[in-house]
Amino acid sequence: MPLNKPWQTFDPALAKEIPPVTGVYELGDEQGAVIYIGYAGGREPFGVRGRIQRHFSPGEANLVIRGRARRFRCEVNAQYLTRHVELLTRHRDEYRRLPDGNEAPGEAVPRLGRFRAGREDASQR
Amino acid sequence: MDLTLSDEQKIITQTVRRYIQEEIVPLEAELDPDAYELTREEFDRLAAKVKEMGFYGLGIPPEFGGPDIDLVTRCLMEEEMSQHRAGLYSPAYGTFGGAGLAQLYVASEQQKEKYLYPMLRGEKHGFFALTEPSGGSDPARAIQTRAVRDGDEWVINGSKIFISGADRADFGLVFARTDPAKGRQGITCFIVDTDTPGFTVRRIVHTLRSALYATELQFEDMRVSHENILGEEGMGFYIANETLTRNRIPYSAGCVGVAVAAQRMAIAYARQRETFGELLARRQAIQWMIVDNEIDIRTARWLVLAAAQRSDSGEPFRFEAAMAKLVASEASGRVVDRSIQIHGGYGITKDLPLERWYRELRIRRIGEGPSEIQRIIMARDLLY
Repeated sequence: MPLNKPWQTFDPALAKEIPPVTGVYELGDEQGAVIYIGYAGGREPFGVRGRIQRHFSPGEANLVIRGRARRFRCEVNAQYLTRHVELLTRHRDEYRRLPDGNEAPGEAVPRLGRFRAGREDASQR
Repeated sequence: MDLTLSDEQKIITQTVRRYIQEEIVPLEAELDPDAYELTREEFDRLAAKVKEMGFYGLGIPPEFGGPDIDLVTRCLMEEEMSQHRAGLYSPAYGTFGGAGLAQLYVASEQQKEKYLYPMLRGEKHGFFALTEPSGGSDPARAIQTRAVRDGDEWVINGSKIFISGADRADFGLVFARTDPAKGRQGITCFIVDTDTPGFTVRRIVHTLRSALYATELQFEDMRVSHENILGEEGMGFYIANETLTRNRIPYSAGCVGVAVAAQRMAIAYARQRETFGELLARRQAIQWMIVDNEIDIRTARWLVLAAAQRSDSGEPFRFEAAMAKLVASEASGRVVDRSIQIHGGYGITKDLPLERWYRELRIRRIGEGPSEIQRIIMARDLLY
Protein backbone atom coordinates (compact mmCIF):
# COMPACT_ATOMS: atom_id res chain seq x y z
CA MET A 1 0.00 0.00 0.00
CA PRO A 2 1.42 3.44 -0.89
CA LEU A 3 1.70 6.19 1.66
CA ASN A 4 -1.73 7.77 1.22
CA LYS A 5 -1.25 10.97 3.17
CA PRO A 6 -1.43 14.58 1.96
CA TRP A 7 1.80 16.41 1.19
CA GLN A 8 2.68 19.15 3.65
CA THR A 9 5.06 22.06 3.43
CA PHE A 10 7.50 22.20 6.32
CA ASP A 11 6.99 25.20 8.57
CA PRO A 12 9.24 25.36 11.66
CA ALA A 13 6.52 27.18 13.55
CA LEU A 14 4.15 24.24 12.99
CA ALA A 15 6.66 21.46 13.64
CA LYS A 16 4.84 20.61 16.86
CA GLU A 17 1.96 19.37 14.73
CA ILE A 18 4.14 16.56 13.34
CA PRO A 19 3.74 13.34 15.40
CA PRO A 20 6.67 12.74 17.77
CA VAL A 21 6.35 8.95 17.50
CA THR A 22 7.62 6.10 15.35
CA GLY A 23 6.57 5.93 11.73
CA VAL A 24 7.51 6.38 8.09
CA TYR A 25 7.66 9.43 5.88
CA GLU A 26 8.42 10.58 2.36
CA LEU A 27 10.08 13.77 1.19
CA GLY A 28 9.00 15.29 -2.08
CA ASP A 29 10.45 17.84 -4.51
CA GLU A 30 8.77 20.87 -6.03
CA GLN A 31 6.90 18.71 -8.55
CA GLY A 32 5.69 16.23 -5.94
CA ALA A 33 8.10 13.45 -6.90
CA VAL A 34 9.27 11.32 -3.98
CA ILE A 35 12.97 11.96 -3.42
CA TYR A 36 13.42 10.16 -0.09
CA ILE A 37 11.68 7.47 1.96
CA GLY A 38 12.63 7.32 5.62
CA TYR A 39 11.52 6.05 8.98
CA ALA A 40 11.69 7.17 12.58
CA GLY A 41 12.57 4.20 14.76
CA GLY A 42 12.46 3.42 18.44
CA ARG A 43 15.65 5.30 19.22
CA GLU A 44 14.59 8.56 17.58
CA PRO A 45 14.05 10.97 20.52
CA PHE A 46 11.22 12.90 18.83
CA GLY A 47 10.02 10.35 16.32
CA VAL A 48 8.89 11.47 12.87
CA ARG A 49 8.89 15.07 14.00
CA GLY A 50 12.58 14.92 14.89
CA ARG A 51 13.51 13.31 11.58
CA ILE A 52 11.54 15.83 9.49
CA GLN A 53 12.97 18.75 11.43
CA ARG A 54 16.49 17.52 10.80
CA HIS A 55 15.87 16.99 7.09
CA PHE A 56 14.73 20.59 6.71
CA SER A 57 17.53 22.06 8.83
CA PRO A 58 20.72 23.61 7.34
CA GLY A 59 22.73 20.75 8.83
CA GLU A 60 21.17 18.10 6.57
CA ALA A 61 24.09 16.11 5.18
CA ASN A 62 22.23 14.40 2.33
CA LEU A 63 22.75 16.78 -0.58
CA VAL A 64 19.77 15.48 -2.55
CA ILE A 65 17.47 16.27 0.34
CA ARG A 66 19.11 19.59 1.11
CA GLY A 67 18.82 20.73 -2.47
CA ARG A 68 15.43 19.40 -3.51
CA ALA A 69 13.17 18.60 -0.54
CA ARG A 70 10.18 20.94 -0.48
CA ARG A 71 7.45 18.90 1.22
CA PHE A 72 6.80 15.83 3.30
CA ARG A 73 4.08 13.36 4.21
CA CYS A 74 4.13 10.90 7.08
CA GLU A 75 2.34 7.98 8.65
CA VAL A 76 2.44 6.96 12.31
CA ASN A 77 3.30 3.28 12.38
CA ALA A 78 4.69 0.90 15.01
CA GLN A 79 5.78 -1.46 12.23
CA TYR A 80 8.09 1.19 10.83
CA LEU A 81 10.82 -1.18 9.64
CA THR A 82 8.61 -3.44 7.54
CA ARG A 83 6.60 -0.44 6.29
CA HIS A 84 9.87 1.24 5.27
CA VAL A 85 10.91 -1.86 3.34
CA GLU A 86 7.47 -2.02 1.73
CA LEU A 87 7.57 1.62 0.58
CA LEU A 88 11.10 1.31 -0.78
CA THR A 89 10.30 -1.95 -2.58
CA ARG A 90 7.15 -0.55 -4.14
CA HIS A 91 8.96 2.57 -5.29
CA ARG A 92 11.78 0.56 -6.81
CA ASP A 93 9.36 -1.84 -8.49
CA GLU A 94 7.48 1.08 -10.02
CA TYR A 95 10.37 3.34 -11.03
CA ARG A 96 13.12 0.70 -11.40
CA ARG A 97 15.24 2.62 -8.93
CA LEU A 98 15.18 3.95 -5.41
CA PRO A 99 14.44 7.61 -4.69
CA ASP A 100 17.51 9.76 -5.37
CA GLY A 101 17.88 10.68 -1.72
CA ASN A 102 18.03 7.04 -0.64
CA GLU A 103 20.80 6.40 -3.16
CA ALA A 104 22.89 9.32 -1.92
CA PRO A 105 26.26 8.55 -0.27
CA GLY A 106 26.06 7.49 3.35
CA GLU A 107 22.44 6.33 3.20
CA ALA A 108 21.83 2.81 4.49
CA VAL A 109 19.31 0.86 2.46
CA PRO A 110 17.84 -2.35 3.85
CA ARG A 111 17.98 -5.50 1.77
CA LEU A 112 14.99 -5.42 -0.51
CA GLY A 113 13.07 -8.07 -2.32
CA ARG A 114 10.61 -7.47 -5.09
CA PHE A 115 6.91 -7.82 -5.50
CA ARG A 116 6.48 -8.57 -9.14
CA ALA A 117 8.11 -11.37 -11.04
CA GLY A 118 8.20 -12.83 -14.49
CA ARG A 119 10.95 -13.62 -16.89
CA GLU A 120 10.79 -10.17 -18.44
CA ASP A 121 11.89 -8.74 -15.10
CA ALA A 122 14.65 -11.20 -14.33
CA SER A 123 17.34 -9.25 -16.22
CA GLN A 124 16.66 -6.20 -14.08
CA ARG A 125 17.31 -7.84 -10.75
CA MET B 1 15.71 -39.82 32.00
CA ASP B 2 19.14 -38.28 32.52
CA LEU B 3 19.51 -34.73 31.30
CA THR B 4 22.87 -34.08 32.95
CA LEU B 5 25.01 -32.11 30.55
CA SER B 6 28.20 -33.71 29.31
CA ASP B 7 31.48 -31.78 29.58
CA GLU B 8 31.33 -31.16 25.85
CA GLN B 9 27.80 -29.78 26.10
CA LYS B 10 28.85 -27.49 28.95
CA ILE B 11 31.76 -26.12 26.91
CA ILE B 12 29.59 -25.60 23.84
CA THR B 13 26.91 -23.85 25.88
CA GLN B 14 29.44 -21.57 27.55
CA THR B 15 31.08 -20.78 24.22
CA VAL B 16 27.78 -19.76 22.63
CA ARG B 17 26.80 -17.77 25.72
CA ARG B 18 30.07 -15.85 25.63
CA TYR B 19 29.66 -15.19 21.90
CA ILE B 20 26.14 -13.80 22.37
CA GLN B 21 27.05 -11.66 25.36
CA GLU B 22 30.35 -10.35 24.00
CA GLU B 23 29.66 -10.07 20.28
CA ILE B 24 25.92 -9.74 19.73
CA VAL B 25 24.47 -7.89 22.73
CA PRO B 26 26.90 -4.93 22.50
CA LEU B 27 25.99 -4.43 18.84
CA GLU B 28 22.35 -4.01 19.73
CA ALA B 29 22.99 -0.85 21.68
CA GLU B 30 23.51 0.89 18.34
CA LEU B 31 20.78 -0.85 16.34
CA ASP B 32 17.14 0.07 16.10
CA PRO B 33 15.18 -1.76 18.85
CA ASP B 34 13.32 -3.72 16.19
CA ALA B 35 16.34 -4.44 13.99
CA TYR B 36 16.55 -7.95 12.60
CA GLU B 37 19.71 -7.92 10.51
CA LEU B 38 23.27 -6.69 10.61
CA THR B 39 25.19 -4.87 7.94
CA ARG B 40 26.86 -7.21 5.44
CA GLU B 41 30.28 -6.39 6.92
CA GLU B 42 29.25 -7.13 10.49
CA PHE B 43 27.50 -10.31 9.43
CA ASP B 44 30.53 -11.60 7.52
CA ARG B 45 32.86 -10.75 10.39
CA LEU B 46 30.74 -12.59 12.93
CA ALA B 47 29.88 -15.54 10.69
CA ALA B 48 33.63 -16.04 10.24
CA LYS B 49 33.97 -16.28 14.03
CA VAL B 50 31.20 -18.86 14.20
CA LYS B 51 32.92 -20.85 11.46
CA GLU B 52 36.12 -20.76 13.51
CA MET B 53 34.15 -22.15 16.45
CA GLY B 54 32.95 -24.96 14.19
CA PHE B 55 29.25 -24.22 14.65
CA TYR B 56 28.38 -22.69 11.29
CA GLY B 57 25.50 -24.33 9.46
CA LEU B 58 23.67 -25.39 12.60
CA GLY B 59 20.83 -27.67 11.56
CA ILE B 60 22.49 -28.80 8.35
CA PRO B 61 23.11 -32.57 8.42
CA PRO B 62 26.82 -33.45 8.69
CA GLU B 63 26.73 -35.25 5.33
CA PHE B 64 25.87 -31.90 3.75
CA GLY B 65 28.59 -29.99 5.57
CA GLY B 66 26.92 -29.01 8.84
CA PRO B 67 28.41 -29.56 12.30
CA ASP B 68 27.83 -32.99 13.79
CA ILE B 69 25.65 -31.89 16.69
CA ASP B 70 22.80 -33.88 18.22
CA LEU B 71 19.41 -32.26 18.80
CA VAL B 72 19.80 -32.00 22.58
CA THR B 73 23.01 -30.02 22.17
CA ARG B 74 21.47 -27.96 19.41
CA CYS B 75 18.59 -27.05 21.71
CA LEU B 76 21.03 -26.00 24.41
CA MET B 77 22.69 -23.78 21.82
CA GLU B 78 19.37 -22.39 20.58
CA GLU B 79 18.51 -21.47 24.16
CA GLU B 80 21.68 -19.41 24.37
CA MET B 81 21.39 -17.96 20.87
CA SER B 82 18.01 -16.38 21.53
CA GLN B 83 19.16 -14.46 24.62
CA HIS B 84 19.33 -11.03 23.04
CA ARG B 85 16.86 -8.47 21.78
CA ALA B 86 16.39 -9.90 18.27
CA GLY B 87 17.04 -13.41 19.48
CA LEU B 88 13.62 -14.95 19.06
CA TYR B 89 13.22 -14.52 15.31
CA SER B 90 16.78 -13.64 14.39
CA PRO B 91 18.95 -15.66 16.80
CA ALA B 92 22.51 -14.34 16.71
CA TYR B 93 21.35 -12.41 13.59
CA GLY B 94 21.73 -15.56 11.55
CA THR B 95 25.47 -15.76 12.04
CA PHE B 96 25.25 -19.48 12.81
CA GLY B 97 24.02 -20.00 9.27
CA GLY B 98 20.86 -21.85 8.58
CA ALA B 99 19.68 -25.17 7.33
CA GLY B 100 17.46 -23.36 4.85
CA LEU B 101 14.68 -25.56 3.55
CA ALA B 102 15.28 -28.90 5.22
CA GLN B 103 12.80 -30.56 2.85
CA LEU B 104 15.39 -30.28 0.08
CA TYR B 105 17.56 -32.96 1.66
CA VAL B 106 15.18 -35.48 0.13
CA ALA B 107 15.35 -33.84 -3.31
CA SER B 108 16.58 -35.62 -6.42
CA GLU B 109 20.28 -35.23 -7.24
CA GLN B 110 19.40 -32.88 -10.08
CA GLN B 111 17.26 -30.75 -7.76
CA LYS B 112 20.00 -30.74 -5.13
CA GLU B 113 22.49 -29.41 -7.68
CA LYS B 114 20.13 -26.67 -8.74
CA TYR B 115 18.65 -25.65 -5.38
CA LEU B 116 20.07 -27.35 -2.28
CA TYR B 117 23.79 -26.83 -2.78
CA PRO B 118 23.50 -23.19 -3.91
CA MET B 119 21.23 -22.62 -0.88
CA LEU B 120 23.79 -24.14 1.49
CA ARG B 121 26.51 -21.97 -0.08
CA GLY B 122 24.33 -18.93 0.56
CA GLU B 123 23.97 -18.23 -3.17
CA LYS B 124 20.26 -18.92 -3.37
CA HIS B 125 17.44 -18.33 -0.92
CA GLY B 126 14.20 -20.22 -0.67
CA PHE B 127 10.79 -19.87 0.94
CA PHE B 128 8.25 -22.36 2.25
CA ALA B 129 4.66 -21.81 1.12
CA LEU B 130 2.08 -24.00 2.79
CA THR B 131 -0.45 -21.70 4.48
CA GLU B 132 -3.26 -20.19 2.43
CA PRO B 133 -5.96 -17.62 3.17
CA SER B 134 -8.25 -20.60 3.71
CA GLY B 135 -6.04 -21.97 6.49
CA GLY B 136 -2.69 -23.43 7.42
CA SER B 137 -3.15 -25.80 10.32
CA ASP B 138 -5.17 -28.29 8.30
CA PRO B 139 -3.40 -28.34 4.96
CA ALA B 140 -5.12 -31.54 3.86
CA ARG B 141 -8.40 -29.64 3.66
CA ALA B 142 -7.34 -26.00 3.51
CA ILE B 143 -5.07 -26.07 0.48
CA GLN B 144 -6.99 -24.68 -2.46
CA THR B 145 -4.05 -23.83 -4.67
CA ARG B 146 -4.59 -26.08 -7.64
CA ALA B 147 -2.03 -27.71 -9.91
CA VAL B 148 -3.29 -29.25 -13.14
CA ARG B 149 -1.03 -31.34 -15.35
CA ASP B 150 -0.48 -30.25 -18.93
CA GLY B 151 2.02 -32.54 -20.66
CA ASP B 152 5.38 -32.25 -18.93
CA GLU B 153 4.25 -29.21 -16.98
CA TRP B 154 1.85 -28.35 -14.20
CA VAL B 155 -0.26 -25.19 -14.29
CA ILE B 156 -0.63 -23.72 -10.82
CA ASN B 157 -3.27 -21.21 -9.72
CA GLY B 158 -3.94 -20.00 -6.19
CA SER B 159 -2.52 -17.94 -3.35
CA LYS B 160 -0.50 -18.27 -0.15
CA ILE B 161 -0.25 -16.06 2.93
CA PHE B 162 2.15 -15.53 5.87
CA ILE B 163 5.10 -16.61 3.73
CA SER B 164 8.46 -15.37 5.03
CA GLY B 165 11.20 -14.27 2.66
CA ALA B 166 9.39 -14.84 -0.62
CA ASP B 167 10.15 -11.37 -1.94
CA ARG B 168 13.88 -11.97 -1.50
CA ALA B 169 13.93 -15.60 -2.58
CA ASP B 170 15.17 -17.24 -5.76
CA PHE B 171 12.88 -20.23 -5.39
CA GLY B 172 10.37 -21.71 -3.03
CA LEU B 173 8.47 -24.82 -2.05
CA VAL B 174 4.84 -24.45 -3.02
CA PHE B 175 2.29 -26.98 -1.85
CA ALA B 176 -0.63 -27.41 -4.24
CA ARG B 177 -3.55 -29.75 -4.69
CA THR B 178 -2.96 -32.11 -7.58
CA ASP B 179 -5.87 -34.43 -6.89
CA PRO B 180 -8.97 -32.91 -5.26
CA ALA B 181 -10.45 -36.34 -4.55
CA LYS B 182 -7.60 -37.57 -2.36
CA GLY B 183 -7.34 -35.32 0.70
CA ARG B 184 -3.83 -35.31 2.10
CA GLN B 185 -2.65 -37.75 -0.60
CA GLY B 186 -3.73 -35.17 -3.16
CA ILE B 187 -1.15 -32.56 -2.15
CA THR B 188 2.14 -32.21 -4.01
CA CYS B 189 5.18 -30.07 -3.29
CA PHE B 190 6.64 -28.09 -6.22
CA ILE B 191 9.95 -26.27 -6.37
CA VAL B 192 9.11 -22.94 -8.00
CA ASP B 193 11.59 -20.37 -9.31
CA THR B 194 10.47 -16.87 -8.36
CA ASP B 195 11.10 -15.57 -11.88
CA THR B 196 8.48 -17.94 -13.26
CA PRO B 197 5.78 -16.01 -15.14
CA GLY B 198 2.62 -15.98 -13.08
CA PHE B 199 4.42 -15.78 -9.74
CA THR B 200 3.70 -12.57 -7.82
CA VAL B 201 4.44 -11.33 -4.33
CA ARG B 202 1.26 -9.36 -3.78
CA ARG B 203 2.15 -7.53 -0.60
CA ILE B 204 3.94 -7.45 2.71
CA VAL B 205 1.73 -8.62 5.55
CA HIS B 206 2.35 -6.39 8.54
CA THR B 207 2.01 -8.08 11.91
CA LEU B 208 2.84 -7.68 15.60
CA ARG B 209 6.36 -8.62 14.64
CA SER B 210 7.80 -5.41 13.30
CA ALA B 211 10.71 -7.09 11.58
CA LEU B 212 11.06 -10.17 9.39
CA TYR B 213 7.78 -9.61 7.65
CA ALA B 214 5.58 -12.13 5.92
CA THR B 215 4.23 -11.87 2.38
CA GLU B 216 1.18 -12.85 0.40
CA LEU B 217 1.72 -14.71 -2.88
CA GLN B 218 -0.40 -15.15 -5.94
CA PHE B 219 -0.01 -17.74 -8.72
CA GLU B 220 -1.73 -17.16 -12.04
CA ASP B 221 -1.32 -19.86 -14.68
CA MET B 222 2.18 -20.45 -13.32
CA ARG B 223 3.77 -23.28 -15.32
CA VAL B 224 6.18 -25.54 -13.45
CA SER B 225 8.02 -28.49 -14.92
CA HIS B 226 7.06 -31.98 -13.76
CA GLU B 227 10.73 -32.41 -12.84
CA ASN B 228 10.25 -29.75 -10.18
CA ILE B 229 8.06 -31.95 -8.01
CA LEU B 230 9.84 -32.52 -4.71
CA GLY B 231 9.57 -36.13 -3.66
CA GLU B 232 6.62 -37.83 -5.28
CA GLU B 233 3.31 -36.60 -6.60
CA GLY B 234 0.75 -36.73 -3.79
CA MET B 235 3.39 -36.87 -1.03
CA GLY B 236 3.62 -33.16 -0.29
CA PHE B 237 1.74 -33.35 2.99
CA TYR B 238 4.18 -35.86 4.43
CA ILE B 239 7.20 -33.83 3.32
CA ALA B 240 5.78 -30.78 5.10
CA ASN B 241 4.61 -32.59 8.20
CA GLU B 242 7.80 -34.45 9.04
CA THR B 243 10.00 -31.36 8.94
CA LEU B 244 7.50 -29.22 10.82
CA THR B 245 7.40 -31.77 13.64
CA ARG B 246 11.17 -31.88 14.07
CA ASN B 247 11.53 -28.10 13.82
CA ARG B 248 9.18 -27.63 16.75
CA ILE B 249 11.86 -28.71 19.20
CA PRO B 250 14.62 -26.16 18.53
CA TYR B 251 11.86 -23.61 17.93
CA SER B 252 10.73 -24.24 21.50
CA ALA B 253 14.27 -23.95 22.82
CA GLY B 254 14.43 -20.41 21.42
CA CYS B 255 11.35 -19.52 23.46
CA VAL B 256 13.00 -20.83 26.61
CA GLY B 257 16.11 -18.74 25.94
CA VAL B 258 14.11 -15.52 25.81
CA ALA B 259 12.37 -16.47 29.05
CA VAL B 260 15.74 -17.06 30.70
CA ALA B 261 16.94 -13.63 29.58
CA ALA B 262 13.74 -11.96 30.81
CA GLN B 263 13.99 -13.70 34.16
CA ARG B 264 17.61 -12.59 34.51
CA MET B 265 16.52 -9.00 33.92
CA ALA B 266 13.61 -9.31 36.37
CA ILE B 267 15.85 -10.65 39.14
CA ALA B 268 18.48 -7.96 38.58
CA TYR B 269 15.83 -5.23 38.63
CA ALA B 270 14.10 -6.62 41.72
CA ARG B 271 17.45 -6.58 43.54
CA GLN B 272 18.10 -2.91 42.84
CA ARG B 273 14.68 -1.21 42.64
CA GLU B 274 13.22 0.13 45.87
CA THR B 275 9.60 0.99 46.56
CA PHE B 276 8.36 2.47 49.82
CA GLY B 277 11.79 1.97 51.33
CA GLU B 278 12.16 -1.69 50.46
CA LEU B 279 13.71 -3.58 47.59
CA LEU B 280 11.27 -5.22 45.18
CA ALA B 281 13.13 -8.44 45.88
CA ARG B 282 11.80 -8.29 49.46
CA ARG B 283 8.17 -8.00 48.33
CA GLN B 284 6.28 -11.25 48.36
CA ALA B 285 4.23 -10.26 45.30
CA ILE B 286 7.45 -9.93 43.32
CA GLN B 287 9.06 -13.02 44.85
CA TRP B 288 6.14 -15.13 43.73
CA MET B 289 6.33 -13.78 40.21
CA ILE B 290 10.03 -14.64 40.09
CA VAL B 291 9.34 -18.13 41.43
CA ASP B 292 6.52 -18.69 38.94
CA ASN B 293 8.89 -17.57 36.19
CA GLU B 294 11.43 -20.14 37.27
CA ILE B 295 8.85 -22.92 37.39
CA ASP B 296 7.72 -22.03 33.86
CA ILE B 297 11.29 -21.94 32.57
CA ARG B 298 12.37 -25.23 34.10
CA THR B 299 9.18 -27.02 33.04
CA ALA B 300 9.56 -25.83 29.48
CA ARG B 301 13.27 -26.60 29.31
CA TRP B 302 12.73 -30.11 30.63
CA LEU B 303 10.09 -30.85 28.02
CA VAL B 304 12.19 -29.41 25.20
CA LEU B 305 15.25 -31.46 26.12
CA ALA B 306 13.16 -34.59 26.69
CA ALA B 307 11.66 -34.23 23.20
CA ALA B 308 15.11 -33.67 21.72
CA GLN B 309 16.48 -36.71 23.53
CA ARG B 310 13.70 -38.92 22.13
CA SER B 311 14.43 -37.64 18.65
CA ASP B 312 18.16 -38.28 19.09
CA SER B 313 17.50 -41.80 20.28
CA GLY B 314 15.34 -42.61 17.26
CA GLU B 315 12.12 -42.99 19.21
CA PRO B 316 8.82 -41.46 18.07
CA PHE B 317 8.74 -37.86 19.26
CA ARG B 318 5.67 -36.26 17.71
CA PHE B 319 3.79 -36.13 21.02
CA GLU B 320 6.79 -34.82 22.94
CA ALA B 321 7.54 -32.18 20.28
CA ALA B 322 3.95 -30.96 20.40
CA MET B 323 4.01 -30.76 24.21
CA ALA B 324 7.36 -28.95 24.22
CA LYS B 325 6.13 -26.42 21.66
CA LEU B 326 2.87 -25.81 23.50
CA VAL B 327 4.44 -25.41 26.94
CA ALA B 328 7.54 -23.48 25.86
CA SER B 329 5.66 -20.91 23.79
CA GLU B 330 2.99 -20.32 26.43
CA ALA B 331 5.26 -20.46 29.50
CA SER B 332 7.79 -18.08 27.94
CA GLY B 333 5.02 -15.62 27.18
CA ARG B 334 4.00 -15.69 30.83
CA VAL B 335 7.57 -15.18 31.97
CA VAL B 336 8.05 -12.11 29.80
CA ASP B 337 4.66 -10.77 30.86
CA ARG B 338 5.59 -11.05 34.57
CA SER B 339 9.02 -9.57 33.91
CA ILE B 340 7.39 -6.55 32.29
CA GLN B 341 5.12 -6.21 35.32
CA ILE B 342 8.13 -6.25 37.65
CA HIS B 343 9.81 -3.53 35.57
CA GLY B 344 6.72 -1.31 35.65
CA GLY B 345 6.74 1.49 33.09
CA TYR B 346 10.24 0.69 31.88
CA GLY B 347 9.06 -2.75 30.90
CA ILE B 348 6.87 -1.44 28.12
CA THR B 349 9.43 0.97 26.64
CA LYS B 350 11.66 0.29 23.69
CA ASP B 351 14.60 1.05 25.97
CA LEU B 352 14.39 -2.59 27.08
CA PRO B 353 13.91 -5.72 24.95
CA LEU B 354 10.96 -6.95 27.00
CA GLU B 355 8.24 -5.29 24.90
CA ARG B 356 9.68 -6.81 21.72
CA TRP B 357 9.82 -10.26 23.28
CA TYR B 358 6.26 -9.80 24.52
CA ARG B 359 5.00 -9.10 20.99
CA GLU B 360 7.06 -11.79 19.36
CA LEU B 361 6.26 -14.50 21.88
CA ARG B 362 2.58 -13.90 21.24
CA ILE B 363 3.23 -14.96 17.66
CA ARG B 364 4.95 -18.11 18.87
CA ARG B 365 1.66 -19.43 20.20
CA ILE B 366 0.42 -19.38 16.60
CA GLY B 367 3.46 -19.99 14.39
CA GLU B 368 4.66 -23.56 13.65
CA GLY B 369 1.24 -24.87 14.63
CA PRO B 370 -0.90 -23.02 17.19
CA SER B 371 -1.39 -24.28 20.73
CA GLU B 372 -4.72 -25.84 19.78
CA ILE B 373 -3.11 -27.90 17.03
CA GLN B 374 -0.46 -29.14 19.46
CA ARG B 375 -3.30 -30.28 21.74
CA ILE B 376 -5.01 -32.02 18.83
CA ILE B 377 -1.77 -33.87 18.03
CA MET B 378 -1.43 -35.01 21.63
CA ALA B 379 -5.10 -35.93 21.95
CA ARG B 380 -4.87 -38.14 18.85
CA ASP B 381 -1.98 -40.03 20.39
CA LEU B 382 -3.74 -40.40 23.72
CA LEU B 383 -7.19 -41.33 22.43
CA TYR B 384 -6.99 -42.99 19.00
